[in-house]
Amino acid sequence: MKPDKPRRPRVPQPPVDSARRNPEDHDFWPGFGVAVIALLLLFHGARQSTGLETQDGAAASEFELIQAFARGGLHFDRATFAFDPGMFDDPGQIAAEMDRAARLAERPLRERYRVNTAAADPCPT
Amino acid sequence: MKGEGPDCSGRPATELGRKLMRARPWVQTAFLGVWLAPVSRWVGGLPSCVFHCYSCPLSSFACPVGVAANYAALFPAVLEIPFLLIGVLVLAGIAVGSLICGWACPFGFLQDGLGRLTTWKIALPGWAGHFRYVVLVGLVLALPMILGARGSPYEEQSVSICRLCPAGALEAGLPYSAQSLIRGDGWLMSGLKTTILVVFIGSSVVIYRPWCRIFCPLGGWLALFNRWSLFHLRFAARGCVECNLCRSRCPVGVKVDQQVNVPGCIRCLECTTCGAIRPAVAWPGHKTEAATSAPPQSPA
Repeated sequence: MKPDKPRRPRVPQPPVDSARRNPEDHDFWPGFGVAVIALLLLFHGARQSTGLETQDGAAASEFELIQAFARGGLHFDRATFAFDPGMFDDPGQIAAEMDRAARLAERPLRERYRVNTAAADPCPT
Repeated sequence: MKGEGPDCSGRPATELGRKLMRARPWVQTAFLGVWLAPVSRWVGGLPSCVFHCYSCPLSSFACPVGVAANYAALFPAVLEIPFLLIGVLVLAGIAVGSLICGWACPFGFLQDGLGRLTTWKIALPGWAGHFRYVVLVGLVLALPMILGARGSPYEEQSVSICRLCPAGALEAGLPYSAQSLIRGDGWLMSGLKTTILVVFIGSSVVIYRPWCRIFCPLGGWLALFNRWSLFHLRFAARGCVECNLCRSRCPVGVKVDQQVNVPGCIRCLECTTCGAIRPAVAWPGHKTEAATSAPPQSPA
């Protein structure tokens, strides 16, 4: 066997007592138990629906929600007054918009989120 | 320092260590084919276990850090528990721990490549690794949660992990900015993100894996499982001649001669070249080598 080419300088160290060192062997059962729990979470996540709705009104699955994160598909209805210069010609339009914003503000935040499953924004941020 | 062990510079690497070191770049390349496969239409809703931007035009799975930050921003309003994300990350962590960082992560592979440009490296103190948990708790979980509670959706948050992430800058910002520049629409990426990308590339040349060791929240999470993961590194006293080759080979400065399954380890398996540190998988009824082997013999 060829001597190994030293790529880094040797780190000096005090003498170690290898006989006293812990072999660091890991037990199987705790790791196995945690792996089973993780698998159960994974299957539960794959099957369950989230509390958010898609634009069709159906409950969004976790897959759809995560895809929406990546593609700019999570929409949030802002309860702000949407100003349009044309509104000054029609006072009724201003009142309607103010009414819409007020009604939206009263709705819980959960209902103001919508998952657009067809979104394809390449980079939301 | 009181004394030193024998010089290891002429000691040959073990056959297993040589094979692993030869195989690692190829395994990392093969995993690139998994993370850069254009199949996001089918698996884009599943978080991966590696650090890789989901806005990359070639990404297949979703970035677990981006998904966690998005869920955190939703949390005050919607109280959704990310079962898929937790399942993937706990399963990956308990199965192999930070072996993912050393052998599967595309961002780690890139830093490995940049690190080969020069052998001169700046050493980092061991405590620098704790900053990964500050990023995980502060930037990935707490900040989006606080801004989300104030009614700001994640995409509109001006400070977030996605807006500061060098992987996002490299894999999404750079291609889209180049595309925009060719169209004549100018450079898309923000000045801050472009600076982060330049600093990241420069620092990766003179520091071994700076992102993984100082900032990576995913690496920090996976490293928490190193003490219990089914795949682990085992110390075989029979193979140790106290030459300190293991510690000298470690690129991330882990004190391998004292303990090896620690959060600072990225499990590149360089230390296995000494013969006393060996990769192992926990198995029911398995006995430790220490219980069955003869006491070690000093080379002296």
